[in-house]
Amino acid sequence: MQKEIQEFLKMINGSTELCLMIAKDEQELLVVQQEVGNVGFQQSKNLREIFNGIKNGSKIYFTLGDTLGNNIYNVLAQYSTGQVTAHDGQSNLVANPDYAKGAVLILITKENLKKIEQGEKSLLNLVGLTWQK
Amino acid sequence: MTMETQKFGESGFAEKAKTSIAEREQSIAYLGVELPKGGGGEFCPKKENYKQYKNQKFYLQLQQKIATSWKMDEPMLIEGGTSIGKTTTVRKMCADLGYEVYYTNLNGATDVEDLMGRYVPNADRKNSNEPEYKWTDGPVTAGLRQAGEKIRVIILDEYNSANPNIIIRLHEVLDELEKNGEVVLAEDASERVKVNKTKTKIIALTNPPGKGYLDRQPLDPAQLRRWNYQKEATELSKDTFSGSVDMLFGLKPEIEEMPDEEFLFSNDAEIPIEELKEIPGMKELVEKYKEFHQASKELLKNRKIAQDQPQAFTYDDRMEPQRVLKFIQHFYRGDINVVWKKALRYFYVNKLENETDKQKLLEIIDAIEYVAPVESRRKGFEREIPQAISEPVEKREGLSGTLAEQIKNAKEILGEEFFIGPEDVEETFGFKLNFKDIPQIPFSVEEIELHQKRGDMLVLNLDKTPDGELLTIEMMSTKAINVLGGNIIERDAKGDPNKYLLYTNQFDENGKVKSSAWFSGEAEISKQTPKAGWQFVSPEILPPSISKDAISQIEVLMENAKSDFFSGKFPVEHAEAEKEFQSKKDEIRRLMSENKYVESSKLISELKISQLLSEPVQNAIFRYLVSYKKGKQLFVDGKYMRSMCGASSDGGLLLFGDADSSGALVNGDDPDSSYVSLGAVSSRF
Repeated sequence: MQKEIQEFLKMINGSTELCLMIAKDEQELLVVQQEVGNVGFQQSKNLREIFNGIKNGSKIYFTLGDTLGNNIYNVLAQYSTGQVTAHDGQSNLVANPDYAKGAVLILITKENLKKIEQGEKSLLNLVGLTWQK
Repeated sequence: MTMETQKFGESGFAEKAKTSIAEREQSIAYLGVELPKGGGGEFCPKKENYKQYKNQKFYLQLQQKIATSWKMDEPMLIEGGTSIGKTTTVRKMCADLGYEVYYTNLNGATDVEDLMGRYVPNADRKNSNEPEYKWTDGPVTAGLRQAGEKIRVIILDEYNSANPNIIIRLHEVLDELEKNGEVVLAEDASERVKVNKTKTKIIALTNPPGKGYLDRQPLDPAQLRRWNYQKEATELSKDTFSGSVDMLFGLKPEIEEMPDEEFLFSNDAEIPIEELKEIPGMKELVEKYKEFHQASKELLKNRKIAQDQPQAFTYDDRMEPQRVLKFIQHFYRGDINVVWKKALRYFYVNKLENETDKQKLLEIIDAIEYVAPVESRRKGFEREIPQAISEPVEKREGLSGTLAEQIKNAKEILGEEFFIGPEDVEETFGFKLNFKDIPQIPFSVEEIELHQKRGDMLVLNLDKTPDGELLTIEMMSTKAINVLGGNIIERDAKGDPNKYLLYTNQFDENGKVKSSAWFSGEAEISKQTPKAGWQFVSPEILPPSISKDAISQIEVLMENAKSDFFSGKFPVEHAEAEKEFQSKKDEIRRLMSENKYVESSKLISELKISQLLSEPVQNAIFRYLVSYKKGKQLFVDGKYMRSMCGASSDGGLLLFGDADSSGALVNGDDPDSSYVSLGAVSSRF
């Protein structure tokens, strides 16, 4: 699996879309997190960190639970459109993705993805390259 | 490249006409619709992020639609599938133009404050004298505020997912923006924000309700009336997909060249209503528009159109006329019929998704045409005169039977070689005709027999493709050459080109008109189509017409028609045309003798007799292409036909022919030129 993940991570270089990795369960999710961390992806834990990661052209990953909040959705929905704006509660912010350098990877378990897709917002509509074992 | 634009000079209208996205120092034109550049700013998207944006036909048209709405300062609502690139296109245009973007996604947004702003704890507070809370603008308020030269675009994404309270608040904003008023921020101690629709553009984007977007509810049709609602595809068509992939792999240029009729040229300023109402034909077209509007409403009401569209809409009695007026004020450029048709397409047809539905409205729109009185010479009539004359004054007795029977009979009388009918046209241009669009043959058996004896050919001419695209010279040449597989029609033993169908200095290998071709910038030539309908024509030039100037050639055509077609006596329409010719002949000769070719050619091409008896050059090209496909190449003897009903801007009457090894060409020459290879063909519709 380690090799598969590494192959996938090589493919997402330069992608103008969000990329998704679906783990079959929490245990596999931990393995995936470790692997993406090993190849230099930084973990983002909240909206501000995602936003700053995009702004700085970093390779980041974000682990989604079973809900897709409005603010996160707002940012993710914009990623492939060439610009991301958001309001952080204090002011309007703007980031221009650097697709050549940066990348945004969403990690999620299969079960959580199912729950999200049953709700009002679709994560699958927002993402491009997707991995699952 | 992201900005695959070409620069054009300040006065380079002709160049501009050929460039799909044309950038000037202060503006950018999207298929002709010119927008001023903004002042940039922190919220302006970066151009480098749109390097992969492909300016394929669909996307060029989408950009033109958006530009048209922004040009008119109209709030726009685009409904289309999630992956067609609505948001990206808006942002790409903002990157081009230097406009700032304020984006908000209404999917799940519950509070008006998310959009307009709210008081938040003051993180910068240093002491108790400073306020504990401070106001922070939401994206909508930030986009509404004016800041010098900046132009701001507010994107309201997933608009039909918004809560009702948000939509109500946004309508208040739209109403104030429409009148350049003030938006009162009830959320901020009733601060008044002065708004200006030339500085703030609002564009709402939605996915189609239902159809896989289960949480999207249809909007109340009454809510849509505030918006310039444009329906886009739920998913990209095969052609769009194919074209974009070709561009991605470098198999096609990154900007698609578009035919002239796709362009919509804007004025620098709105034409005042006082001037507009003086334009000949305006009153008549307003009357026709009223009928069209009612007819469209009826079709909609009876579900004859838009039956499958889950988002209901109306053709609003108040808003649509206002928008149509504004469109005409912005885009009228001398052709009253064209601007009306484009306005109705934009505001009525573009609300429909289904091609069949669109066609229903387009058929009605096609009939909205102002036909000017023949004697008039006022501005704006140039295009209408041929149409007026093409209407037969006297009712003719055509062939009897069904159209299929008529075609069979005519072909039997004339012989295969001298008959160009629907099948020949389809084979030449590679499209399938709708039989219902083919007119009845208006000639009697006796007339057909008469023309058979003269050696004339009967031609079914079209002015547009079954898809409604105008059959301009370039459209004809590209389609015909596409069917043939190239412009080279003969090779030598080594395989090198030996002969071309169309002149290689004017047409490329694919049949596209080269930018270096002299007529490529002449809108009156390149935008015109063949005159549609059944036509008898002498396949080659009439021998008595060679080595004569244009006036003498008209006399030959008159004599020829009078003696051969009408047994020595013209019918009323032709008699009137002859009278007009006689009354103007001396004046035209005087102008020619003074080398005033622009004036003399204009007078000749406007003569009723020219319209009745001379073949337009577009028709000559049409039958040249079809004849070749049928196995016979015309004009191979080095001769040109001169058309009396088309002139170039420098005063040349149009010529076509001389199909030598380098191909047949479009030419022009002064009306007093006469030489042995130049003649006229007889034509009768």
